[in-house]
Amino acid sequence: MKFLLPLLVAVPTILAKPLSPEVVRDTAREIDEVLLEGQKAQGLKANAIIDDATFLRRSYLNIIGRLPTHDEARVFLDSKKDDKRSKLVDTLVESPGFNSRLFNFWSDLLRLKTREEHNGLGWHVWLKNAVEKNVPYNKIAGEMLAAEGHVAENPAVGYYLRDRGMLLDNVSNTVQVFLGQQIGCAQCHDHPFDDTTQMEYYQLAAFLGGTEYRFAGAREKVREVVGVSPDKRPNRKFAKMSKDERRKFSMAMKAKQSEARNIASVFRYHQRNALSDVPNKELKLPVDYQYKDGKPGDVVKPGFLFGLDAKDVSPEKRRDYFAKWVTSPENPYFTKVISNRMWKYVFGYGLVANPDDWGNSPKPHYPGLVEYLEKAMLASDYDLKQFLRILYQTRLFQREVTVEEPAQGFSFHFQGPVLRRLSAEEIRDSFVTLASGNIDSNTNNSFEEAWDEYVESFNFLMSTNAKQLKQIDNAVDQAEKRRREIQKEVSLLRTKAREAKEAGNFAAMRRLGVQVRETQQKFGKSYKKGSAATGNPAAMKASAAIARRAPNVRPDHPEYKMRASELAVPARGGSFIAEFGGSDAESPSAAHTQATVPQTLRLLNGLETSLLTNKKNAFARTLRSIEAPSRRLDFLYLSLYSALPTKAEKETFLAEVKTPESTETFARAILTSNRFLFVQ
Amino acid sequence: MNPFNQLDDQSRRSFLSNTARTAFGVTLGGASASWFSSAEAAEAISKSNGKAKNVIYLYMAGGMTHIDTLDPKPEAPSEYRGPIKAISTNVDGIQLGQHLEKTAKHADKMAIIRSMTSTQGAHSQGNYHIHTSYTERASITHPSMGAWANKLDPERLKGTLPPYVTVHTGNNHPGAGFFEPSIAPLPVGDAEKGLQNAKRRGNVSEAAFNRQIALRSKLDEQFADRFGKGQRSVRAYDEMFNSAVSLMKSKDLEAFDLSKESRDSHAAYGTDKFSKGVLLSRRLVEHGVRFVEVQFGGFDWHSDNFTKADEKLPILDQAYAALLTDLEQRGLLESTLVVIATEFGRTPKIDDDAGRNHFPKAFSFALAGAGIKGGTVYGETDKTASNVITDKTTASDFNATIAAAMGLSHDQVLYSPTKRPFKMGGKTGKPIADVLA
Repeated sequence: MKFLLPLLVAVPTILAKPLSPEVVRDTAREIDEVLLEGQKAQGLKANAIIDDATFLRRSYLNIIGRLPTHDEARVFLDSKKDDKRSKLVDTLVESPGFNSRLFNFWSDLLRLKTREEHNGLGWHVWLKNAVEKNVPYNKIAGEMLAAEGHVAENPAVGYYLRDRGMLLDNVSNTVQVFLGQQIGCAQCHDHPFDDTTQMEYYQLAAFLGGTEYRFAGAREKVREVVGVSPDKRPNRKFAKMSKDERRKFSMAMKAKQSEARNIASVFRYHQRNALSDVPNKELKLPVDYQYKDGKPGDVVKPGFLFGLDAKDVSPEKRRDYFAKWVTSPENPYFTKVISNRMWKYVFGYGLVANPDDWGNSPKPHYPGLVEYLEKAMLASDYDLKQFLRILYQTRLFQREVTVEEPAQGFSFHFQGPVLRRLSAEEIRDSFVTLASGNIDSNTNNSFEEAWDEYVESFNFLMSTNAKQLKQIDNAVDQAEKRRREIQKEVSLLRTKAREAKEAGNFAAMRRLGVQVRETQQKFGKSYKKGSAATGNPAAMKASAAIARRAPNVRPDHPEYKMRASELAVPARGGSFIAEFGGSDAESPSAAHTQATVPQTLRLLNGLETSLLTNKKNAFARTLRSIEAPSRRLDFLYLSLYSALPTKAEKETFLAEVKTPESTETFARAILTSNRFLFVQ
Repeated sequence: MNPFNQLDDQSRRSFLSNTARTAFGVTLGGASASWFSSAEAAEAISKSNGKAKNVIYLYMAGGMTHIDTLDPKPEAPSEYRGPIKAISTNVDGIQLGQHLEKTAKHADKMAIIRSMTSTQGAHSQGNYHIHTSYTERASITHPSMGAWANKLDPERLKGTLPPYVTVHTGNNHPGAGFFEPSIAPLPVGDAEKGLQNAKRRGNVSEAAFNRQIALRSKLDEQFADRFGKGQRSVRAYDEMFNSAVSLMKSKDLEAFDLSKESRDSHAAYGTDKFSKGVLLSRRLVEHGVRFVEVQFGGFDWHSDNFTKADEKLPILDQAYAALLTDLEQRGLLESTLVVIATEFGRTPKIDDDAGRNHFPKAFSFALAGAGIKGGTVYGETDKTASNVITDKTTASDFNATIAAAMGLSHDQVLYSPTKRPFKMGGKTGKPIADVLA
């Protein structure tokens, strides 16, 4: 397959941001040309250009992840400007909703877990900031992959702590997420379908062989305070001492070690939130290694998969090398993989069919386009916002979706984008917008505030002197003791309450229930979290740092007035987002849009849809205030389908909006229709 | 799909072995052993005849102590035994922990496996391993047993109810794993609340509801014309829509409604949330739901093991015994397999906090009902329940046993979307013939 037009070679290496409209348009046009040529060569025709209403709905959903409000729809549809589509794209890309949708993409891809220890929270805040500041993709990836230390000092380390204790799986995920390859099987044996051998897998993981999931700073701090570390061995002088001296020395050492262990308990939760890279620690082959090129227990030297040679890497530099290799512009997959993901983000399907498994995807129909996208990504310096903007400005983005879905796992011709169901977040956010109008700017600062509180407390803790640290330790011990006492009391009370309930003595049961609550409150609101007791100033200042869980800060807005991107992830089981396929953060890109019965039940009978007919919110209020049925019909159509009803639709459905009751029924019908749930 | 198009070694071997068996007059067990059954699977299935049409899987989340429950050691020193005594059961030679006094009357229905062992000592990994037969890999999610059962045998499904329901499970339940999401369990968040959103909203009349359904079709006419044929996802939504509406209209819906149970039933099972879950599971199975999992949380007793045992174990004891009695009285026990599982055991040596810690080296599970040889103990631990000394059993073996009891092939290979091979009984699991009947 040959191109009639030369690929845009004139693109300079790095361009100024935001890209000028000319560069965006030229690049977009180039993409269209390559596609058209390819399709022509196959005897295929590109789909027709969609009408304004379809473009409107598609743009809002694909760019900022929600339906346009009724007013936003009106403005666009009424505008007579020639360049209104192009301007709409630019406006949406620069709006806060853009970050919202992109963040959902990231949290799904990286399996972000906000509530998972402190490191989940820190990582979440860091990532959100990176998206909002439009940090280049390679920088985000690079910082995460090179990260080590305590999450309070380097929140990007949350990437590794996400797979704490599962280093090999983490490597597998890294290679899948950033390089689009599946090497997971090779953990245990030579990969049956690809070329990766188990040895190569281990060689790659060996770059991270120094990983230890502990907080080195704790050890140093304890040593600073007590004068000895908890696991110190007797020193050389020991051998030269007399028996008596040895005994005295041993006792003194034991006492110090005991003290050290005691104080170390202050840092007990920090071990879960830090990672050390130990230079002299190396990865070894597993005990059941079965191939001839090594013996179980052999040390594995670092080596790369496909491409760059690993020159002699000093042990301190292993992690850095790894990060550099993965994110290098010369890495054959790093840039292509993200370009392909972005293509799928816009058009609903990858140029390469399986974005997570290039090794097993069929050849893309337009390999030249894959390479061109790579160049464009490099030229934009991994600026995802600009790259996406280019894709949104293509003609392809204005074409009708294909009638046939892509065959799963096969390459697609992209005569048009792909029909898809709204994501869980998009449905939810659309409901939220219907109820409350445009709330894209309602950000949730509570995570950042809680995180700042934690970091401040952590910094204080690390700066304490011996006396303060001992006070804190005492406070922690006391708190722990109290917590267990209270748990015991509560446990007994609960048993009694249950017995009372069974005996039918509900008065006693209720009394005991009250007692349970009172007992819990005795310890303060953080009963379950085991935070330090009040009273001692050092302990109070350090309490956030030594608590089991991060501080709880209330967001400025109620959940139902914020975008999904502002909430903790993953969505809790049974929540709207979870039921509609929102990521459960257990594997990369776990979010799905498959139909289930509970989803339909929820749309039919759930609380969310009834909110729309609830007089208290914007949608229902406006609807009720409209007097003329035809205007009512227009309003419904515009709000939910982002289109005005056709003449035929008016004829068919005008009767349905004559009374408030029938209008409500009609609105519900729209909400359960496929036309609503899918974006064309 | 023509099975003979795929005659790899495995299929060829099993084809031959099956032919050989029938040729020599050895019949294949049950109607469910398929052409794909290996000799091993066929044999295991033939022991139980695939009696278990339904499974109630009771999962104790947190790691239930084994020495205090199913594997008591009355002769062990007190620093292992603690204050809990062992009690006799209605089977000579089998003893249980003192809290399981109601259960003790059903030992003749139970097969207790005391030789469970695993390498997964963390909650998430242990939970995952028990549920799927595989080790947790951050790069793939394996299916749980209910999903396997419905994938391997999709035919045996009655009525409008989902074939797989979980009750009180958390977010990290593997569910359908890499199988299609339609095999995913229907999660019930609160047994007393039942199936959420299954009834029309209060302010919606039946006429309005029906009108709404009709309008939906009309609204989607053009969309359906355009996309119905070429888009599987659109058809799937229509299917689910119809299923949901049928479910709403079906009488089977009351399977989720605990208020339909008598006061006596409620009292028999107990008042705890878990008790309600178990009662619900009986109801669901009665209405034809094939696989129901009920979780009971809070077994992670790192401290005050005995206080917590006093609080929690009687709840389990009462609900479990009530379930077995109930199933028996309703004639369901001979077609229902009841499982007690957990992620690992707890250290037999009591720690400084009067607690026990994670202990995957040795722990105990229980099976009862259909396909199971009652009054059995399989495997043995040492004097302090710290090491398995006979018949080591892995989660894979255990799940293979569930498969066999259900008449399913524990070793039938199915592929993930990334083309890796997996089986219901894990990589190397073998059904335990000694507990099958």
